Amino acid sequence: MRVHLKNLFIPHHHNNHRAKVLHHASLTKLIFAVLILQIGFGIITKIKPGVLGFASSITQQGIVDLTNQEREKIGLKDVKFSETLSKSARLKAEDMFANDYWAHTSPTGVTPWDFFKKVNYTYLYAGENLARNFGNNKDVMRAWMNSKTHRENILSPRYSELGVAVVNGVLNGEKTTLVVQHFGYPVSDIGRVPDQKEVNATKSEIAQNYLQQEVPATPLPVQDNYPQQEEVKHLTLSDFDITKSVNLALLFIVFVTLIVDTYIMSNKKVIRRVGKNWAHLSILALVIIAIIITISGRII
Amino acid sequence: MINFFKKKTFWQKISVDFVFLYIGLLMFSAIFLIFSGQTLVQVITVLATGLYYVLWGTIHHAREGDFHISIFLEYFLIATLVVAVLLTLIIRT
Repeated sequence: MRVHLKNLFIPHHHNNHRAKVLHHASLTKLIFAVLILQIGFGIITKIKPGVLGFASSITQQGIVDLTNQEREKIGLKDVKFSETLSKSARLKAEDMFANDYWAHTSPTGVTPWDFFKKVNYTYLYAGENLARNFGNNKDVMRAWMNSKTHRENILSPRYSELGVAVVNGVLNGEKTTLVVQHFGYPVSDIGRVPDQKEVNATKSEIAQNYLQQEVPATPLPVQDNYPQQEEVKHLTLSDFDITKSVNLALLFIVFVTLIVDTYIMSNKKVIRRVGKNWAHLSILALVIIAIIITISGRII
Repeated sequence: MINFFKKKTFWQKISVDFVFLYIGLLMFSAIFLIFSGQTLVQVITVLATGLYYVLWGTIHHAREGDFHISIFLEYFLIATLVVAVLLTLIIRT
């Protein structure tokens, strides 16, 4: 065992003065390990949808608070939390899970505005932001704020109300947390005199464009039997987390082996036909950093 | 006496090559981070990084005069490992 480990990680005359982990055959095996793991997850999610989950601490209130914090930064008035819009947001999330799609418009042609109509919300302006696979409120908000169209929704002075749904379910065979933001300006607010903050914001450059605008919709019958929002907390690992951890571990093994190889061989006068360890270490270090900061969340 | 026409030393040649490597890697890293969430751009960036690394290794060793197919294979495998690891994280179902 000890000899085997030495062969794997320490360069010496038995392994041709190059740790076995860095041999071509071992690197090829590592590449196959990465690919097989990914194929394995694909098969698991097809055979047993939902077996791999996603851990999230996102809350409805957290999203509303962070939205208003962003609006306050540019002098905009807070959006008021709306139970009705939260119901439409929840309907949207449930529809995505039920019909297994990740888009603003469903494969059957149901638009976001249909959900506003379903909860009898008559609006002058409306907008929708979607996010999935995020672990916490701040990451969701950061991703939305980094996207022009989502940021425009969050910072639009035309919206006065906001509803949020944070719903767990299985999408494309993977357990996930969907976050839906529904913005609106109800018809009942027409004629309301805007305060100075809103006027200033309207003049600001950031608020010139809007993601969605719609004319007032025809109300449909109200449905009252919506489940209450609950905090999302389930402690399973997603395939993304597992892939990330395994990939990091594999790269770390190669990285450490290269450091050991560089250190040991720097004191030996042995001529080897190998690549430059510093070059390998540089690219691996950058990739390890990139993997650490890569997040699984996606927005549309 | 200082000889101004002296040929570049081994270390001087290496450092110039490494400057090119680091500039390239940092540039690709910046693009990768700036376009976070945009799958297509990130996939192209990762593939370009792998290709750049293999090309850099080939040119660097050719300049040093110790290029060999086994060295090319080593750079190719490291680049493939890096590309495989990043693509499995970027491309999700």
